[in-house]
Amino acid sequence: MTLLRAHHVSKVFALAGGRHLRAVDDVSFELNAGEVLGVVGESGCGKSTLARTLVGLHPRTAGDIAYRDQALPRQFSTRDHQWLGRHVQMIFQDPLASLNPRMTVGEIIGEALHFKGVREADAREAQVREWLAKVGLPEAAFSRYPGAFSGGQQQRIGIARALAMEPDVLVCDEPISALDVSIQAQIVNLLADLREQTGVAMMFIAHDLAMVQFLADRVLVMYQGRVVESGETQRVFSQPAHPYTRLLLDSSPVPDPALARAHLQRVAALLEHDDVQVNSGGQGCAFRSRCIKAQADCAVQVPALTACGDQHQAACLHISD
Amino acid sequence: MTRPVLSVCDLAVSFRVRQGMVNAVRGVSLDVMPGETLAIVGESGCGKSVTLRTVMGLLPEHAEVLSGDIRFEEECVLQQTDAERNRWRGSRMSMIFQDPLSAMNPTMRIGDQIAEPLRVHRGLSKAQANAKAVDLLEHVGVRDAALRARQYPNAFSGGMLQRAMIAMALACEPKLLVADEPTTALDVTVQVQVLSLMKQLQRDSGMAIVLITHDLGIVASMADRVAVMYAGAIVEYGSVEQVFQRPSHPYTRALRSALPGMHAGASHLPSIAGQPPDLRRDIQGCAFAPRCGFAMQACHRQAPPVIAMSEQHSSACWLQDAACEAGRQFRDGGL
Repeated sequence: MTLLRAHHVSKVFALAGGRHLRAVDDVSFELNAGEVLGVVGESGCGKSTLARTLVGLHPRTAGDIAYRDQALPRQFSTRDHQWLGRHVQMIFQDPLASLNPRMTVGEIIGEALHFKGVREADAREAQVREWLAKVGLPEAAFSRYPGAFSGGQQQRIGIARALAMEPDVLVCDEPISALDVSIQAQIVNLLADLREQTGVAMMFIAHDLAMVQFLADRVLVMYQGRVVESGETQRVFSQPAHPYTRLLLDSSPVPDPALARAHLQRVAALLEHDDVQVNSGGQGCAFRSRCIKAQADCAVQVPALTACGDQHQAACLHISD
Repeated sequence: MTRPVLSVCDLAVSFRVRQGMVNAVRGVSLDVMPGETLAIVGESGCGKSVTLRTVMGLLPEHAEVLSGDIRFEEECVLQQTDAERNRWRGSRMSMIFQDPLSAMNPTMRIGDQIAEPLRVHRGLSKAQANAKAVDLLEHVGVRDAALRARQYPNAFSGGMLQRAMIAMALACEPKLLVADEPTTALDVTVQVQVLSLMKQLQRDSGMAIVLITHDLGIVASMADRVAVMYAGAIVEYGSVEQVFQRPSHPYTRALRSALPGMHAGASHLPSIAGQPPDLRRDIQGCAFAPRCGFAMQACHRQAPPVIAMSEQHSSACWLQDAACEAGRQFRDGGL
């Protein structure tokens, strides 16, 4: 069953001087019950804007978004937010900034339960304590404030608050990038466990490809606002069809001293004339200035996503070259 | 025998905070040889940046150096005044930071910022220094360098700004470049370019680099030697091959097994349970013992000494003690 469906969604920001930034450009996808959809791409590719547009934090410029076949309005009212919040929850990159510093952890998670309709204080406290245990926080956390916790623990508080609403969908916007390496793995493992226990579907946004490879069933690769490749995670990572996906995978450092140096030199040579040009909505493929496969036709035509395998799509005119 | 460019001996640094003292660096010793790259690896709060900021004399007011000796090209750095440090800071030793935007002056043109050390340390005229700044920008791969030199930092992308900061750091041909997480704020494709630029400039100039990072993948592609830090102390020290192929400390081993690409199809990522210790408290025994899968009784009671496995490779772990039976199994890979 499809929980969230985005159909040709765009988000354009007006910049100073009458210019425009197409942060999200004609993105379509479906998120099915129980699955994890990864979204990867470099900073500025529009992955966070896409997430915020989905949950109504930005009004979209064009396109349709539906939750379980119910169309979502372009501009959310407070009631729309409250309604969607029962079904779709979000966790953020900076956990501290997304938690009220003057509420105790018990109040923060309790507030979510109150919205859900748990009105009796004792029942609420009992459920908060259950959630603290589920996300691996000590019982004493109940009466402490978010500032007293480490980054990883704060992210656990954010996860407990989101999942206490028992949503169908959890949108995770770079939930681990602000955390230390050993803590990142803890949080990703927690998300994997909670998905197993609750069956919640996730949209998992990250720039760490290894984490996405571990957690996501399917993946969208974004470049300058557009989806350039999508497919099952293992297939996209093992047989990338788009030159940008290939470049992203190649750019990750190789953790083996015997191979790493030669690899670094080889990839750096590929990138020697690399020049990121911001897509101003002009013609052609936005990646062509960086692309080793670029040809004359790439400057004329914006490539559409086309099938290049089972459930596998890429937006490139020269996939098979 | 070649002398080290930089030598840090038994350094201890604490910060005064309301609740007492945070013991950020607890006895660090390291050497950097001419032309080599030493990587200092560890998570945030492990003391890697504080160690190098002490070397540069960039500690905040509430920090206190409790003990230790730092020698840079035979000069005793800790005893120096700021004026004495300024003779080598930015010329013979320079530093690049994680966030280039906040490390540069937003109201000064890029070219003028690169020219500044040349005018201060080399006494070049404004015109000479600015011409050299354009050469340097070109050298670090900034196109249209003459035009770009007249722009302000906000007109540069993150990667281009980090290149400009490298140009500024290299203006006076330093003997030692300290790079504190130089690519953490950059995208992976830009990271590749900046790292390879640093490597190429090192080959050309023969400078030594101290690279502070949390990313073992970067260590593998850049470092000759590695110091792994945990809770303010070096837990393992050795050549990059030794540390990757025969990690002798359980923390290094855990970091290495958490590297990407090794867990497709696994149900859980390898992770280290718990959190680093509170450095405001005295640490009894080994700082890593509470999170260590191999901890023995001795580990909780007494801090391990630094044990040398070979001339270049040492580890602060009781498992490496010759009398430790479990250590033999650990080394054979049985644990």
